[in-house]
Amino acid sequence: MSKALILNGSPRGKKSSSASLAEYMKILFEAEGIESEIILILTQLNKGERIKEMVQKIKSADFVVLFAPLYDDCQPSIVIKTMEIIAEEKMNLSNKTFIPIINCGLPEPEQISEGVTPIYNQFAITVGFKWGGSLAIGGGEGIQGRFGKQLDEIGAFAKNAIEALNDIVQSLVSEIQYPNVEIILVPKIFYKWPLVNLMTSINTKSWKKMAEKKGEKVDAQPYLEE
Amino acid sequence: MTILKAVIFNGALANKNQQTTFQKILEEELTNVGMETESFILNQIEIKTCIGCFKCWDTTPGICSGVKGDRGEEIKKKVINSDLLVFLTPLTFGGYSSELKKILERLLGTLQPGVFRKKGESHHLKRYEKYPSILAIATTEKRDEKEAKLFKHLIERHSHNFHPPKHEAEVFLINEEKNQFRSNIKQLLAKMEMSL
Ligand SMILES: Cc1cc2nc3c(=O)[nH]c(=O)nc-3n(C[C@H](O)[C@H](O)[C@H](O)COP(=O)(O)O)c2cc1C
Repeated sequence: MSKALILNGSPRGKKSSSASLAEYMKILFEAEGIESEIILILTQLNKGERIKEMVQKIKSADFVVLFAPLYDDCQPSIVIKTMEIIAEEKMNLSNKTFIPIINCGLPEPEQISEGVTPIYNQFAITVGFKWGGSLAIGGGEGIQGRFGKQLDEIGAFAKNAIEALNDIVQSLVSEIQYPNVEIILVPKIFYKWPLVNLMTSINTKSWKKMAEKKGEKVDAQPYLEE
Repeated sequence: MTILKAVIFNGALANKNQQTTFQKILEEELTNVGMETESFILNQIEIKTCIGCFKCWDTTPGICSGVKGDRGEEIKKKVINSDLLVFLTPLTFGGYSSELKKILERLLGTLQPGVFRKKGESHHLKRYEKYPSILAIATTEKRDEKEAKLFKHLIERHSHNFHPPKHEAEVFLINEEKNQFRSNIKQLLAKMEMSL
């Protein structure tokens, strides 16, 4: 029986978009009779013995699926650290498939696929993982706000993500190469003028309001000298 | 006369090559062009990783109040008031090392949460009028054109989102001959017009 290891690389840990996506993926794996486990990179990196445990779990997995947010056009530090550890271990990974599933705050999935996807690919090549394709989710921040609900309970917003996760699991089961896919969570029309300008301005105003509610100015300039 | 300031982030990993020779040469060449330079060897400094709480956007704008008890804010203040930020990082699959990245992600508050659109992509608004230029130096044991290209591309993208007036990226072999490295750095600084 195949085994899947799901790595949650979000610095937010269990309360993250990555976590919601990962939990749903686990359900899909199990429906296919694939044993799967989710581990949190954040807590796994805390102690030397836990790092060893993570390495051990990678060794015994057939599929390694990494969920992580986009941070500054690349990986969060804790994810890079994990990649450094895996490289340092010099394991034989040639029979293991690696798939990164990355979500970002800005609406365009290209923010991910243009920058970090090739870095993950280079990592896979360097350490010897089989590349299993990738998924870039634009505007993934919206999932996190609905934390506490399973992905298939949050309505149309998660539809594209659910479909893509399904496709990935099906590809793994039937040993078909999954491509590098980009998805968005809101209908395409929101990405086009004039709605895109409206959305941008609503988003900007809502941050301003949030800061104001706490008695702060969203455009404050602390720390300036002179 | 104002003195230009430079901050060097040395992102070497603990127990690996500390990139000390390159750091020294960078310090010397920055001093040569009249800059005041401060270096941070990140693996020796207590800096925690970002927890993604966005408090630096909606609760204490510009200030990280989600992570406490480390030197992240002190270093961020230096960055905001500098003219040049130098990354010195082991090339890591074409990207940054975990040590360099842990401080970079703590700089999120230097941007505003609001966004603007440029060439069909969204980017965050500036919080400050002026940001430091970025000189990104990656070191590697084995020359790999693909990784070098990825690194330059990453700096390009990161610069769209972090507003440096100028940015340059270059990859060097870790055992590069000292004088060669020095003359390359001189050229890069001249290209960036980094002297007054
Ligand atoms: C330090 C930091 C840097 C970020 N950088 C980017 C970025 O470059 N592009 C982007 O679209 N979103 C960026 N984001 C937003 C996250 O990708 C977004 O909030 C994501 O949905 C978080 O996923 P998670 O809940 O799985 O951690 C950043 C967030 C943080 C905290």
